[in-house]
Amino acid sequence: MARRDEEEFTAFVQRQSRFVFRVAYAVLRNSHDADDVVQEVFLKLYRNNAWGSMRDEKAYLARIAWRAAIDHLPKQTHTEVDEIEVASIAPSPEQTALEADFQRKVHRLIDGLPEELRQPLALSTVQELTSGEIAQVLGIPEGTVRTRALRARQLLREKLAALEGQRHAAKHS
Amino acid sequence: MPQSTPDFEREFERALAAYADPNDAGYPQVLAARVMAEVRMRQRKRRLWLGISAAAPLLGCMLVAAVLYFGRSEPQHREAKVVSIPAIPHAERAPEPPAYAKARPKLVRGARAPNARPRLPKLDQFPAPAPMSEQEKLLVQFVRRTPPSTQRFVVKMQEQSDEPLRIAELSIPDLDSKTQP
Repeated sequence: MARRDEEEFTAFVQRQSRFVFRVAYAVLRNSHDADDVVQEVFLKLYRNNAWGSMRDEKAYLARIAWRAAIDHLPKQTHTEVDEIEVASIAPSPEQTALEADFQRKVHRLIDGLPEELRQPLALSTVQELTSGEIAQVLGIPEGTVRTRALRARQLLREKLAALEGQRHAAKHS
Repeated sequence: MPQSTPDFEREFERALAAYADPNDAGYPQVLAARVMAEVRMRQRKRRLWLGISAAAPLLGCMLVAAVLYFGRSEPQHREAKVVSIPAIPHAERAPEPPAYAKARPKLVRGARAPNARPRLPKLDQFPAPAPMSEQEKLLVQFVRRTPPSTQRFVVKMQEQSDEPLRIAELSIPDLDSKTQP
């Protein structure tokens, strides 16, 4: 690789690595695995010499990052939401930090969603991606992406409301 | 959990936004450094393999050339011996085979056909009288030119030279202690 190409590639990696990381992390929920995916994605781009001729850089990167992350995903990652619910109502040392606790609960509930709902929602949390780009990444129509993301949000709200009700009931009993 | 609906929605959106943005996410510079280190390592490996793949055929060719060179030298001597042996007269030999066919010379059967050899006339005396040698010719000339007396003298001298030599007996006196220094 010529020196100029190397500098350009380095700049490209610095510019997009965070984005690729977030896409990978949205799928894998593990920083180390996401780091591996980032490396794999950029090495693949370097090998194919495709990084200089991308039309829609973000959509392309999101697609290959998502595929690489799916390959890294263990076969059975889907955990039952009910198990998480039981764990989440157990008293924790961070109960006073309500916001942090709330975030953890939301993330656990998202992790417990079926993959067909979780992935559109997870990719939609990556701010830079539009529903059209997510549709390209997942290979499904844009309308389906929106429907599934909305359905996932609705499910999460219901679960959170149920959790809140259980917590109040546990407090007053 | 936030109690009011606006608070809930705000916290809910914040929690969603944080889903793919962990606190321990890699920094772009660190990620880029990792990737570039891997890229450079692969470049080095690639160069190494390119060098090996370029050198391997060259070494192979050199090996084959060496085997051919040293393997051929011995058969060439054998070939020379085989070619020099044939008993066919020079005039009747088959035409020289081309160089590429010399490795395994073939005898042409047609050249050994019995009809091709001319028959020699049958002789009355066996073995056939051979012509005189140079020494015999000189002797005949000497006999013709020199008179009989000279011839007899020469014969006599030759006979004398054939007789055994007679040497007088030697008398060696005993060593005496007085004669010694």
